Amino acid sequence: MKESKKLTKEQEKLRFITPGLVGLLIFYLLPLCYCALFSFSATSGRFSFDGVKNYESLLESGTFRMALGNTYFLMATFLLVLYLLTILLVYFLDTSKGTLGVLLISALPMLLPPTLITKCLQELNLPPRLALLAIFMWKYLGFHVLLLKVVEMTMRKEWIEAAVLDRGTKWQIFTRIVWQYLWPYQRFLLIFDVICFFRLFRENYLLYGAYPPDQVYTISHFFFNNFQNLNYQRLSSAAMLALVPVLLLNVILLKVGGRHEMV
Amino acid sequence: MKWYKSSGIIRGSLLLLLSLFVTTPLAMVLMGSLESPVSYRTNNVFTFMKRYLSLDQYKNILFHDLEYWAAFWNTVLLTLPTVVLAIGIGALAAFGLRIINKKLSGVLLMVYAILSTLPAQVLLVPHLVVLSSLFLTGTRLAVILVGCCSPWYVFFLHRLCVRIPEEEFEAARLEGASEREVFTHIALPQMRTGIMVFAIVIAADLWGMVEEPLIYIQDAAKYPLSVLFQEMGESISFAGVLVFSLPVLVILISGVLNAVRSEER
Repeated sequence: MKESKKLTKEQEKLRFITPGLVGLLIFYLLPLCYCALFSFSATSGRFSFDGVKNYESLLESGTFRMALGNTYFLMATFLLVLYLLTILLVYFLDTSKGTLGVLLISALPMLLPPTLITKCLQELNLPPRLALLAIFMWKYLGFHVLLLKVVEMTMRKEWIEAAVLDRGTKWQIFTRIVWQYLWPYQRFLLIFDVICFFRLFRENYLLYGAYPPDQVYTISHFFFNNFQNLNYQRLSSAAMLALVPVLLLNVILLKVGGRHEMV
Repeated sequence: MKWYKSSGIIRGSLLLLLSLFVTTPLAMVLMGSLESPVSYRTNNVFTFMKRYLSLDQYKNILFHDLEYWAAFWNTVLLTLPTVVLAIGIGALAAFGLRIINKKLSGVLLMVYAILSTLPAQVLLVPHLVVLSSLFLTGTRLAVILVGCCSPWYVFFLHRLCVRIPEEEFEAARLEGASEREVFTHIALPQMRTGIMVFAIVIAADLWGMVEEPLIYIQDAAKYPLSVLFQEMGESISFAGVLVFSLPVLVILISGVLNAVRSEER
């Protein structure tokens, strides 16, 4: 009697995660496997192994190379500027309630729909890359600084006081104590930023349509414009080419620098 | 310790710059929405007010623009079910991950974490492949289902119930509660505020979805308002944009005020 009850206990627990796992399987894991398989397949209905021909033909396409190059260049630049501005604000601002209040308001743009900022930028005619950079900062700077400031509030004041007693300069205190404490969260934010950058496609699309100026033509546009022309196989290869570096980067970031409770 | 804090001037000006930067677009949209589309000649104060402080744009939207409201309704139809399903599936899965055997949950959580780091665009093609084999393309259900199964939802909700000590579950089980009762009476109440924050955040996020409806649903009649914005280009007015953002703004501001009030208590 007891043994059969124990079995059903475990099964009962497993039943909780079942709908989530089924959804994950169908919509995330299986598609990724499909994609990986298809990317090596020749262009036809059934799967037939064709080696890396899809990848080769993609890399020969000038449009694709431009899209991929733009994506990585813009991502690196935007993340760098965001990173620098975040450090600047975290360095100079304090953690008082007033500051946190202003930061909370500044963090709200992250959740607003893309139409608002797009409408604004339609009026001002900024160069495309600058416009996207402005949108990216507007949306995400507040949240980044807010998060880091809230974390900084949990730091113990004694550490700073001890460093002051040891006659450390403000810069030294910042780099050696504060930033070390904040680094795990900054690491999480870096991973988060990659996703945010791809979400920038929304504003990009609303501002410039499906065929934006060359400087801001990203992989997302490539996918978007080629859904009808390219077949699934070639599209899968393109997806793999975009996906795998991002995945590798994230796994590296997750493993290096130690585990942390946030990620 | 006083010298450690930056001077008030630097702090103040940085905060001022930041708040100006953040609120300028909102102010622009607000002022633009009050401008009448009819260009009255601004001779005196009254005509100035008629031109720059008018509610014409709002009237146009409320009474004349059916397409706008159809698309607005589409947005609601796409957002609400996704949020509800996300919470349902996510909370159950999060609790499940909490109580099953640790090794299995460790592996699953890592899978969830890694999948959460994938940007949405690279998943568009895989999703489309699966959706077309399930014959779901072109339906709103496609967007809803894909949206509610997102791995980072489960991950986030799991973090909410990680804090609950195991003893509370054991105590309930000793009193004869089934797992379902443990969930509804112990885990859920403690996750409640987190779930509400979660709901607000993902609702705001889903409210502005653009690429998913465009790719999964090719039918223009089912597009949400954010997509319609692109189709209509310049002709969506400032007021239209503001009204679209209004639900999100209202929910966010009331959420913030709530948080501030409960802080002060």
